[in-house]
Amino acid sequence: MAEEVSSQMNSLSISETNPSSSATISLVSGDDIVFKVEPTIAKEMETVQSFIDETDGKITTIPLPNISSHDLPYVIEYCEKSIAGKITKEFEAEFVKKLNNEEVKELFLAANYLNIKKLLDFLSQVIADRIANKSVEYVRRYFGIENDFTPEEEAKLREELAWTFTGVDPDDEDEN
Amino acid sequence: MVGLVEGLTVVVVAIRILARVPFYIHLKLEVVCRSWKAAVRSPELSKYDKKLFHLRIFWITLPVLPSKIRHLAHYGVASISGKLFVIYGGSDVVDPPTGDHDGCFATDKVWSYDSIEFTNCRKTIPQAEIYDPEKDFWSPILDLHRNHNSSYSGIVIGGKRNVLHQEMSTVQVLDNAGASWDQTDADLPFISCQDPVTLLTGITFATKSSPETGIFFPRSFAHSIMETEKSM
Repeated sequence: MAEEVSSQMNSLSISETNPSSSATISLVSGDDIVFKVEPTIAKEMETVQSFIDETDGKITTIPLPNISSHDLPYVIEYCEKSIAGKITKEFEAEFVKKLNNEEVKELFLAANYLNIKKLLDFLSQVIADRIANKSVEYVRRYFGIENDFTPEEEAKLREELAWTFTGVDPDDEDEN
Repeated sequence: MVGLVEGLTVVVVAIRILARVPFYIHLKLEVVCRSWKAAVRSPELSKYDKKLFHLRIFWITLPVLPSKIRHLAHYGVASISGKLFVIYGGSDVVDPPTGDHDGCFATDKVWSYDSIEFTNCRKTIPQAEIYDPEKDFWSPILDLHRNHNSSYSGIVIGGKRNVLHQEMSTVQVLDNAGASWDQTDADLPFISCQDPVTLLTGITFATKSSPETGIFFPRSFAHSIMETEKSM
């Protein structure tokens, strides 16, 4: 992990040349795009903050190889709202309206990786709402889960639970 | 599909999601894989559930019961340990030309999320049974003083079991130690046991189709109120 970090750092030394950037934190997405954020934003991201703390604040460029430049702005936007105390139901509804299920999952993984509890809780609820009425097959595909039941076991489970298999939405409905 | 990242196991994700879907979805999600099945039954999920309880203040429609019986009637429901039990009565469908019942006066089914079945019989019986959800076991308790060919409602007030008969205004109370059934001397003013009876903070509310709602204070409860007032 340490090697990975330092190699990322070398390739991104350009972000440290600006003296006025010393107060800001540079977050580097997996596809090498630099996002400069206020230290207060970094505080919201526990993973980032603990990295800064470990190095006594000397390192202000944080590579986030697991997070793409597509997802990182959403994460930053949520953290900014959170600091401002402006996380409302309306904001959250707007926030996820533009995200498809795959994007929600990627942000969920990002929030987990960055350890942003509020965002993680919120996205967990979004995913829960979106998959609740989906088929078992959809849930498996969505989370990349392999079915490890034998066909006999699965048939038995489904038979026992036949009365709950009502009102499943079509799988393709969400790909909007 | 993106694979799960390090530190986020299938079970952890499962619990996060399961805690936030309506609980009747849990059964469906058990079929996803062994880890999800384990998550549904894990103590971690119930802990999570309690924390998120405030998110669940809304009414939901439960899935249709797996019964083939039409016009299900005289059934009982109970909520124990977070599970809803539906204890079957029978069908009150009458075939108009013949006057025959649907062939199902009483069934022996008890549905819960563990789909447990028990035996029962068709006659009016004075026996009462108590169910222990921890041990998943029914055990008999003392027979009722009187039995009557009508429906019963049972409720627990202050640790005592109360049995109300339809079309009878008396209530039989089993004391907590199970030593004897007592008949209350306070008759119910107007309710019959056919009407829904519920228990709210120690007071019985019986509602009926008419606008009245009966509130029944069992003697022990009235005593405890008086004692509380004295000590205040």
